[in-house]
Amino acid sequence: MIRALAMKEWRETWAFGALALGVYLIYLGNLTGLGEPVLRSVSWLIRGADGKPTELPFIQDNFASTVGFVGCLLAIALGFRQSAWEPHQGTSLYLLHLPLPRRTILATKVLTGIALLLACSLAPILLYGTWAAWPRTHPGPFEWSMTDAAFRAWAMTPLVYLGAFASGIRPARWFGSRLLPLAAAFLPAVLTLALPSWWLMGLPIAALTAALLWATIVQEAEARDY
Amino acid sequence: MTAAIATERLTKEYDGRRVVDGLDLRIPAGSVYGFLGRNGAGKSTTIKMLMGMVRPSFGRIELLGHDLAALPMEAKGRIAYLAEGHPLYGWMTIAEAARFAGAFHPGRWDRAMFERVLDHFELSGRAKIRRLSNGQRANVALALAIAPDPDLLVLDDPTLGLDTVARHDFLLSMIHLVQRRGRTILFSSHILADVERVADRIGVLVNGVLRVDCPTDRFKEAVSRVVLEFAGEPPAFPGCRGLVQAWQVGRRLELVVVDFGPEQQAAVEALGPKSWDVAGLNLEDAFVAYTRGPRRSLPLLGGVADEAAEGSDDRGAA
Repeated sequence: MIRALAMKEWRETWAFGALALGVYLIYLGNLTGLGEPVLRSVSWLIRGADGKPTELPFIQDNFASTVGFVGCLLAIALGFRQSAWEPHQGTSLYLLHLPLPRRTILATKVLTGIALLLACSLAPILLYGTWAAWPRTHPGPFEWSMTDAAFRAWAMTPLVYLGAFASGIRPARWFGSRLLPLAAAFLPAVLTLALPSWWLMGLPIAALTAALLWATIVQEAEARDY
Repeated sequence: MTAAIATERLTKEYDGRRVVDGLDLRIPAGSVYGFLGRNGAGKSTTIKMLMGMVRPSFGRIELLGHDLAALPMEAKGRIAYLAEGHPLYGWMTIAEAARFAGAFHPGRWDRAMFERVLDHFELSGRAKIRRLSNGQRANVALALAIAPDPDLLVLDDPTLGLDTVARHDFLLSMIHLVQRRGRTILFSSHILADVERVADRIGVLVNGVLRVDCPTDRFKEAVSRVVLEFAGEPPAFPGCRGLVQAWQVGRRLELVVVDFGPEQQAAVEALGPKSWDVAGLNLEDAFVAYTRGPRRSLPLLGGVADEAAEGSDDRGAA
């Protein structure tokens, strides 16, 4: 049952992931100098995707912020698609009547979305890191610890996703007030990026925020009318 | 007899306005129950509350003997629900929709029956749901709902938006495919002919209140129209037991009464009419009499309509 539900979610959202991957690949093509000239020529259309090769990968470029920016856009798109779209189409009446607890249905949706989000945002980090670790690809040294900032940005994206999901599932009269959970998710997301000790401060803040957003999603899904 | 659906003082309020008001519904297992009411009467809200999609403001619901709040998943799997508009995933093909739905009913999914229904409607499993007509989509939704052999089938206005032929086909499917011994069906509609063909029991919801809950034949037999003719201005009708509506049209007083008998006859004769007559109502007229408020038809034509416009005056609606 859960597999069928996860497959449905995957079928409905893979295009978002493919689009984000496409943007990442154009960006990586520019950063590594391996990209096709045609793709390089259109990369200026996408904010942050027109990077240039540097001597110190991950340090001198804006890779982490681009991963964070594109990851946030993907997180917002996925979160809204998976939460607001079904009630809008009326299919939530069909979905929620399936003989599965509502919490299980929600958890399957959220976990599928987060898995897709993390996989899509992890791919450019690993690809770029592998390229940087390859001998004679760039003049500077490389250590995997140089990817820390990118991994922090990557780890922050699920918070934005949960905020978008909580906003999408929340019926509200005004669009502005509907977006409150998403807005509330941004501050801890930025804190996890900015605080000096990620393991001691960033991770607990992220975990606590994720737990609060999940509780909001479950409470809203149980209490709202469809 | 055990009840497949039982509600106790079921109430739903939106912004202080009661859309369903103290509903005590008891639908016997094995019956086909037509749930009638005008648009906005509260039918869909009631059905959504029964299916757990809308939280009641007050009251209790039991489905197949289980409290809805603690409905086991095994029991939920024996309840099929066709929501208004037949919502399905448009990007799926019919075969994908069947595989998806079948995954949630292991051991109960009757694939052969599902394919027979598709054959009957000449539908290909490879057809995308978004490309189906409303009628085809309704039939697919029905086939998906009955393939797990549910004990309780709840359909919310299943013929809404279908043309006459599609509606006819859908109802035939309901009659031939859906009804089996012991299966309870609750379906809402505002089309009387649909209900008359299928339901053995009806409930009529008026402004969120269940005004009628009885066998269909009993409803047709019980409601009568009484027309009283007077030489001059008719007097106000003082009311009697079973009075549904009373209104004045020129020198006539028209009453709609349930179970017209000696008591009601005495009340009519006490007014001293020049003549009076009692006639049975068909289901549609009875439904209209029950659900229509004081408003009458607009006097668009001359003659009788003008007279009606001058003298029409609703009195003592029960």
